[in-house]
Order: sequence, then structure tokens, then C-alpha cells
Amino acid sequence: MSDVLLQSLITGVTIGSAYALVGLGFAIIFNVSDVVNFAQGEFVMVGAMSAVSLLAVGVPFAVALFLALVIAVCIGLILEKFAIEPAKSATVVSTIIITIGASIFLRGLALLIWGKDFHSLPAFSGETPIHIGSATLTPQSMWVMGVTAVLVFLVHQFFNRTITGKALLACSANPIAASLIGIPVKRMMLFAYGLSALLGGAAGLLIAPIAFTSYDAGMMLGLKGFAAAILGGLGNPMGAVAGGVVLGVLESLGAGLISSGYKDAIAFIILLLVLFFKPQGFFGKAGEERV
Amino acid sequence: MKRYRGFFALASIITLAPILFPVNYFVTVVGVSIAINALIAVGLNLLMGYTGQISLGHAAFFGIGAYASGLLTTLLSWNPWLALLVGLLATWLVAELIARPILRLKGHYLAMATLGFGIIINILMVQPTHITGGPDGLSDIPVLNILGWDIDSDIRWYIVANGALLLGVWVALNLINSRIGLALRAVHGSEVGAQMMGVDIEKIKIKIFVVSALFAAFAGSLFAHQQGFISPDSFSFHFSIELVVMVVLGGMASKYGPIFGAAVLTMLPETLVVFEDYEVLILGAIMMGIMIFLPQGLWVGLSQKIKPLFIKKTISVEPAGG
Amino acid sequence: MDLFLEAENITKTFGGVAAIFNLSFATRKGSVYSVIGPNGAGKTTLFNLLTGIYQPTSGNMRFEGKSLVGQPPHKISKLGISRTFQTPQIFLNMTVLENTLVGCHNHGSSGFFSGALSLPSSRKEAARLEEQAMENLVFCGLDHLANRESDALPYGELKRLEVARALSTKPKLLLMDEPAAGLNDSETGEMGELIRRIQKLGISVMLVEHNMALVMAVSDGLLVLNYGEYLAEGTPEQIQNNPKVIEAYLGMGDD
Repeated sequence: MSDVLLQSLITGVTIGSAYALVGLGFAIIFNVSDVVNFAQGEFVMVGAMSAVSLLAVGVPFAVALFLALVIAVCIGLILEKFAIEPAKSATVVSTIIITIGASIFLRGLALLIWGKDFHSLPAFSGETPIHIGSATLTPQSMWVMGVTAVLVFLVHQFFNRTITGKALLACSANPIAASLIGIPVKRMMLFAYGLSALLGGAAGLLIAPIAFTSYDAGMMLGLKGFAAAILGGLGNPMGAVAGGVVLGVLESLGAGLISSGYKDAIAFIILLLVLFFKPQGFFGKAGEERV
Repeated sequence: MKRYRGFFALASIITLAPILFPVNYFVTVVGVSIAINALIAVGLNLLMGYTGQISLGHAAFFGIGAYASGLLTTLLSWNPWLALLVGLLATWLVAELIARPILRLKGHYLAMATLGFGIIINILMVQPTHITGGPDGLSDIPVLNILGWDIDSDIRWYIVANGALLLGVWVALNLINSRIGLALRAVHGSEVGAQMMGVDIEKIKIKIFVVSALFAAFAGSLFAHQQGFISPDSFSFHFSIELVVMVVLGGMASKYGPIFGAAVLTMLPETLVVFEDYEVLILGAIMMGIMIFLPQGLWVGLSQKIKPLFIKKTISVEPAGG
Repeated sequence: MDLFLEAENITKTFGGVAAIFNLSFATRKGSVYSVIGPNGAGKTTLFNLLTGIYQPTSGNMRFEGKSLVGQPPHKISKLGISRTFQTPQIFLNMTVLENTLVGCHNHGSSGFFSGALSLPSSRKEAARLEEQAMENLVFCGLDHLANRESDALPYGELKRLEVARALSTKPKLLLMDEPAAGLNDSETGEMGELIRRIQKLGISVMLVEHNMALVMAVSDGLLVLNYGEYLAEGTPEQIQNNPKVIEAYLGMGDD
């Protein structure tokens, strides 16, 4: 029994790391622009699929990964420039529809380029698993957790230690004041989209060797990432990371103990419970709305 | 009466179309799907367009209606009308239960909660395979029968589905012009303002959520009998999004916009048959394009852009705020 | 004194900071009672407490002997308290008449069912409410704009529309939050005159306002707040000569 739990925990933290990266991207964009970017999951798909294609045409592994990230970032920048920025004064409902539209558009584009086939990347460094009791830990799982930890650490340092990072947070607190003191709000927005596309793309590369990827793989991952962000409290980047890991673990425990068919349902039931009973998330700030 | 002018125009178009084009595939076959989708969109518009509460999970209610009819008539061999009634009651119950906590949420949170609800219901259609037939769905759903008249041909379905649509539009029109309709629009305009005028906003939001869910469930029952076969794919997150697009494309809080939106979106895959793979891409492009360039919707937006060209007198044409 | 609006030691804190602290006052039926004080004195917070938008952290509030604590805004509206807002909360998606009709909400009873089927009872009621709403538009001088979209109105008329809408609830007490803010001199004069006419209808008014000329002209009684606390209370003459009030205003370097 404890081995089952341990295995669930390993699987959960691995997949939870991917949710954490996507959730972190959500939180960054929400923090800067008050927009919930429903296209976040597509960055994951674009990253993974681009790497698959680049490898197929003979690009060396490391270069392919790097170029795939560049492509994901470019998609993020294009999205901001041509879909979010022109609709700046849009209402919440409008931005939701725009970003869902962007997500569907990217999925449609992926369908045209890559078709409906499932693809996979080779593991970064071999397939020989480490045995812990009867549970196994694959090298790729370690890559996922390790790289996620490093990325989260870097983002955390970036927000707390660098001028640009602090400026980015200032944009969210008060965009008008931010522009008055000379922070280029427009460029900051672009930067936020680029950064969260980078995180999404990285998540895609990391888990592509474990989970298959296809043109529509981004949607579910994106939604789970959003659930992670809400779990942690929207607008709190580190909360989103914690939310992602927690979500991944609960999901894989649920899949192990109940049934894997209900795995996705578990994530969304948790999401609803959090929204109903603790809508500010577990790490967010509570506040009474002032009229 | 003036308020029914558009209604009579719609009724005339619906009546004349099959008379003028009796063998046109787009009228007699696609026309049925348009009517069913439009019925859901008209209901969703009451919630989204008029009351300002987004739902990204309305396909769930469409599905609950369809599965209630499908399951009860096949597994238990119930009378379809009884099954339809039970489907509506079940939807009422589910909507009422979920509405209370969900509609306390706003904006992104509301969107995410309705989305999550829709996905959970969709999973419940897939997973208990022994009951629902799983991903393969249910087949051999019997035909509907009205007073001894079997609804088993395209043209008969055209009459029934469009009759249901007209009934739905009539109800929605009345509601919007009533005391309750004013209160709903007030909630959209300013929640504090509405509360201060004595509107119990929590209660009224729950009620309109239930009403719009019932529109979808009713359409779902018709859909199940019309298709004779249902599977979870028809009630997925993707369809919830399409429903939202129908409302938005036509123009939120526009009386006939959602019908126009439903017509466009239902015909889109039919006209793109040759370019099937482009359908997803185009749907996404439409969503972004409309919201960026014509946020009031194609129907309202275009009519506002065209009107000033014909009316030279400068009546202040104000864009609808918000 | 008749029991009308009474507040007893009410306190409201936001994250530990008191916006209203231990405040008590009572108003008389039929009077125009104004609340003044420097910016940030807690005047709008007071209105939000009285109308159920916020709940007090502690203390009691009663209207005609009935407790207001724990009541949501729509219930308070039914008790006979209505209000206008500092930033007009007009339903910009509706016409002038429709806005005013929403004010009549409490005076109709037709629900979803009769509305959806457009039953004769519902139509008859709609006609009756429309008559009521029109009377209030006439009262506020907006009847010629009845069918105009409200988002096309100039600011001054939005302010009067809020009054017409609030009057349609048939309030016993009308709270007006800065009715003259953003108005020019002649519009302010009209607003003052409107307040007097409302008082003549037998409706009590509670006013939050920065324009002292207007306040002094229309008020029967005044309450001065400073940082959420009671500073003074009295007639306009008493307040104008109260050294504590003068100090508070001069000390702030405001107004």
C-alpha cells in the first residue's frame, strides 16, 4: 500500500510540476494584466510539437529544445501584440473569449501543421529507472522536477531581486502610476507573455517524453494549470506553483485509489470546491470589495 | 404589437424557407440543427447577454437533457414525453444546486467554475460505461410522437424544432420586457444599483441560470430524439465554447443576434466540408476577430456601422457601453 | 423624538483600520440631515453601512425601530431607505425610463412565470409601474428624455436620473452621496431645489456633500465626522461657529 502511495506521489509531483509551470505562467500574466490567458496550455503543446518536428528534420537534440522554446516565446509575443493589446479596454468576458479564441486558433493551426497523430520526445537522459521499494522513479521525472525547481527559483529571484521583476509587479498594482514613474507598461506586458510562454514551452518539453503530445494536448494542461493558479490564489505566482504540485499529487492519488477514468474529474472537483469555499485560494489575499 | 415585429419576421422566414426551397439540404436538414442550437443560444443569451453572467459549461445542461431522454427511453423504455419532463426536472435540480455557489463568483472565477462543472458532467457521461455507453454513446433512441404523429422525417423535425425555437424566442422576448427582465438587465448594468432598488440579485441570478439551463435541456431532449444517437462528444467543453460564440457573434443582449450566431456557426462546418481541417482554425479566428473589432457582435456591430451611412441626420449613435 | 434612523456605537474596520469608529447619531423624520467632514472621514462608508453594502464590525443601526444590521441591501430598500451614489450607478445598458422602472421593482409582484408568458396581470402591472416611473421623471425634469439611452446623458442628468430612480422605490429616507459633485453652479442650484422639493414630499433626506453652500442652505441638522469619528453635531449655525470643526477643516488644509 505504501508503495502505491509512494508511486502516486512520484507521478503526482512529476505531472504536478508541469501544472505548476503552466499555473505560474497564468499567474504572471494575470498579475501584470488582469487577463486570464486561456491559451496558456497551447504554449505547452507548441513547445512539445515544435521539438518533435525539429528532431524529425535532424536538428541536434539540445538545439531542437532551444529552438522549440524560442518558437513558444514568439507565439506568446505574437499573441500579446495582435490579440491582447488591440483589445485593451475589453471587458472580462471579451478577454476570456479572445484568449479562448486564440487557444482554438493555435490548436487549429497545429492540426494543419502536425495532423491528428500522437507524438513523443525521447527521454533527456536514458530510460533506466531508479527503484525505491517497488516504486520507480524515471530519469525524466527527475528532469521534470529538477528543471521545474530551477525555473521556479529563477522566477522567484527575478520578481524579488531585479528591477525589471519589481517593475513587472508594479504594473499590476497600478498601471497608470507605473507608467507615470517611467515603467514601459506595454513592453512589460510583452515581457510577461514571453516569460509565461517560455515556462509553458518548457513544461511541454519536459513532459513530452512521459505523456504523449498531440495538437489538442494543450487544452487540458492549460485548464489544469489554471486550476493550479486558482488553488494557490490567482495573482500569487508561488501559490500557483504550490497549487500545481498539490493538484498533481491529489489527482494521481485519486487515480490510484478510485479510478484513472475520473482523474480529470478530480482536478475539477477540487477546483470547484476551492472556488466555492475559498475563492481567494490558499495563498491569496482575502479582501472586502470596496464600492 | 411593436415588440413582436421581429418575432413575426423570424416566424415568416422559418415558414417560408422550406416552402421556397423544399429540397434544399441547408433548409430541411441543417435548419433543424440551427433551430436546436439557436434555442440553447437564446436561453444562454438571457444569462450572458442580458444578466451579464458568463457560462462556459452550458453544454452540460444540453447533455443532461439529451442523456435523460436517451437513457430513460432506451434502458427503461419510458414514454419520450415523460422522459423529457424528467430531464427538465433533473436539470432544474442540478442547475439550482450548482447556481447558488457558482453565481457568487464573478468574472474569471465564474468562467472557470462553469467550465469545471461542464467538464465534470462530461466525464460523468463518458465514465460509467455500463450505463451511458461510454465514449460510444447511446443509440436506438426512439422517435418522438406528437398525438399519434411520428416525428420521423426531415420536414417534420424542421417543424417541431423550429416550433420549439419560436416558443423559446417568444418566452425570452416576454421575459426581457417584463419586470423581471428589467431587473436582470439592471444586474448587468450595476449590481449595487440593482440591489439598492430592491432587486435580490442572488436569487434572480439563480433563477435566470435555471431558466437558461432549461432552454438547453429542452433542446437536448429534442436533439437526442432527432439524432437517434448521442455521444459525449456533442456535449464537450468545445460545444460550450461554441454556444458562447453563437451569443457573442450575434451580439450579446440582442434579441435575435443569438439566432443569427447559431445559424452562422452551425452552417460553418457544412460549408467548409472540403476544408474540414480549417474549421477549428476559423472558429478561433472568428472569436478573436469579433471581440477585437466588433465587440458588440456581428449582428449589432454591423447594423450600427451601416446605419449611419443611410441615416444622414445625426442622431447620436452611441456604442453600448461595457 | 420619534424613532427614525438611529445609529448606536457603530464601528467598521477594514484590515484593522477603522473607517468608522464608535459613531452614534439619530435623525428626525422629515428632516434634511447632512454628514460632512474632510476627505476620508468615512462618509461614504457610513452610507454603505446604512444600506447593507457593508456590515458593521460592531454596533447597532435601526430604522423606525427595526434593526438594519445583517440586512442585505434589497431588504433595506424594502424597509424604505434608498440612495444615490457618489459615482452614479446608472444602468447604462438601459433607457432613462427603464432605469426608473427598476426603481419600481418593489412595487410590482409579477415573477418569472407571468413575465415569460406575458399574462394580462403582468402587463397591467407594467402599465401601472410605468405611470409611477413617469411621475418621478417629471418630478426630476427628465420626462422629455424618457426613451433616451442613459449612456448618452450628460453627467448632470445622470445625477438627477439617480434621484428619479431612487424616488421610484417610494423611500421614507433618501441617502444622497455627493449629489452636487461634478455639477456646475446652476446645476447645483437645481439640485438644491430638488432636495427641498423631495423634503416637501415628506421624504427625509440624508446628505453627504462637499459643497458647503448647498449643505448649509438645505440642512436642518449636521453631523461632522473626522477620521471616522464623531466630531460635532448641530444646526448649520452651530456648526459654522464650532471651533473644533473649524480646526479640523483648517488643519486639513482642505476646502
